[in-house]
Amino acid sequence: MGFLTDVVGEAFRYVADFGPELREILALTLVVAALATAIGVVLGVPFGVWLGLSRFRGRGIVMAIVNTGMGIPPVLAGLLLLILLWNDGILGSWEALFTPGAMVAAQALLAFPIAAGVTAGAVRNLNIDAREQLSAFNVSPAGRGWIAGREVWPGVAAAVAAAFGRVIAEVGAVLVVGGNIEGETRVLTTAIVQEARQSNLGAALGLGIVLLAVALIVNLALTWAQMRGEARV
Amino acid sequence: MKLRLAIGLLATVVLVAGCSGSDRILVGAGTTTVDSGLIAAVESRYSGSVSVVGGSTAEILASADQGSFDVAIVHDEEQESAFLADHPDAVRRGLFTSRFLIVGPADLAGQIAAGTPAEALAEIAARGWTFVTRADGSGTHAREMQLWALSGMDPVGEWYVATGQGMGFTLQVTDQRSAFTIVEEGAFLAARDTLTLTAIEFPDDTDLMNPYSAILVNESGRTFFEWLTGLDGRNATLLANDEVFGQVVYRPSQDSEQ
Repeated sequence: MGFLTDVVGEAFRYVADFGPELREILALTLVVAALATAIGVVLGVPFGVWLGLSRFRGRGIVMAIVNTGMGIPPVLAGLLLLILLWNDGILGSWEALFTPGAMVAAQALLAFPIAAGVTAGAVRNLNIDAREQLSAFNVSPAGRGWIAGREVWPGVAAAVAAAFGRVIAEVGAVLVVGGNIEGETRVLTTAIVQEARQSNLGAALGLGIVLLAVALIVNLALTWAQMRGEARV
Repeated sequence: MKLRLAIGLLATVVLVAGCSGSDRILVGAGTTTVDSGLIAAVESRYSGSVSVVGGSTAEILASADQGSFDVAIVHDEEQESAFLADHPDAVRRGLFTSRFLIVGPADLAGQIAAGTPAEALAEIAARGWTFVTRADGSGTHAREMQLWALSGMDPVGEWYVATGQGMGFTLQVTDQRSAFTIVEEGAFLAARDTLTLTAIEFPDDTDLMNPYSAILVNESGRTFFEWLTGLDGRNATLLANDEVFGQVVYRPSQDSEQ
C-alpha cells in the first residue's frame, strides 16, 4: 500500500512540476500526432467518402483491407518504414531514420486506414437524399466534397478523433523509427517505456496521466463540435 | 488533385526529416548505458552535437550494418568481432568496463556456496530455483548464455523464464517471482530502491567483467569517436559516472587501443 501511494504521489509531483523536459516531450508528441493525423485525414477522408459511395466489384475486399489496416500493429508499421528508411532501403537516401519526420510518416500510416474506415462507415449510414445529391452527375468534385463535408461532418470528426487517439497512444511505430532520442524524438509513450524500464514508476505514471489528459481534451473538443454539428442539421 | 496533395505532403515530410537528419552524429548504445543517463552525461561534455539511440547490442549492430549509426557502443565480443569481419573499415576500441551481477532473493542467494558465477548458475538450475532471462540479443543475454555454457547445464525447463524485455522489466519480473537473474551493475543500482534482490558475492568474478567497445562505423563520426576514446572522453566518463551513480560503475579503459 505504501508503495502504491509513493508511486502515485511521485506521479502527481512529476506532473505538477511540469519541467522543461516534460514540456518538450509534450510539445513534440502533439506536433507529431497532429501532423500524422492531418496527413491521415486529408488522404483518408476523401478515400473513405469515395469508398462509402461507390459500388464496384471488389469493394468488399477493399473494405476488408481498410478494416484490417485499422488494426495494424503499430510496431509492424514502424518495421515496414524502418526497412524502407534503412540506408540500403528504397528511401535510405532520405536519411530520415530517427527523425520526427519518420515518426510522422509512421503514424500517418496508422491514421490513414482509420480516417478512411470511419468515414466510409459514416457515408454508408447517410440518409438517401444526401447520397443522391452526392452521386448526382452534375455535381463537381468540389461541390461533392462540400456536400460530403456538410453531411458527413460528424463522421469526419469521429474519424479525426479516432485517428488522433490511435497515433498519440501508440508506442511501437515511433520507438522503432524514432529511436527515443532525448530532446529530438522522445514522445510521451516512448518516455513511459523508458522510465518503466528504469523502474522510475512515478515518472512513467506521471507521463501516462499527461497522455490521458491530452486524449481527453481532444476528444471533449471534438465531441462538443460534433454535438453542435448534429444540433444544426 | 488528390495526387498533387499527396506529393506536396510527402515533400513536407521529407523536408522536416531532412532538416534534422543530415549532419548530426548518430550514436547507438546499449540500453542500460542510455536509459541510466550515462551516455547523455558523457556526451553533454562534448563540444559537438550528438544524438543517442538506445538498444540491445544485436539491434544496434544490425542498424549499424545498415549505416544508420556513425558510432556504436556495444558489449558482446562475439557479435562485435562478427561485425568487424563484415566491415573491415570499422575501428573498434575498448571504451569502459562495468560488471555483471547475479541477483536473487537474499535468503536463497545466501545459500549459494559457489566460487564462480558459472557454478552458481549450475547450483540454481540443480535446485530448480526460478531464473529469469531477457532472451533479447542484448550483451547481458549473450553473457548469460556464455555462463550457462560454462556451467555445463542446459537452461531448459519450467524454472527458466524468458521475458524478451529490457532490464528494468526483467528485474521487476525477477523480484515478483523471487527468482534470479543476471544484470549489469548500473541497471541494478538504478532500480535497487524498488527491488528486494541482492547480489551473490564471488571470490573470483572475472567472468562477470563487462567490457564495452566503441566502434567507428561511418567516417563522419570520427571526431566524436576520437574524443570519446581519448583522454577527454575518459575524464568525461568519470565525471558522468559520479553524476549518475555517485560512484564509478563504468570504469574507463586505461589503454583504448585494441
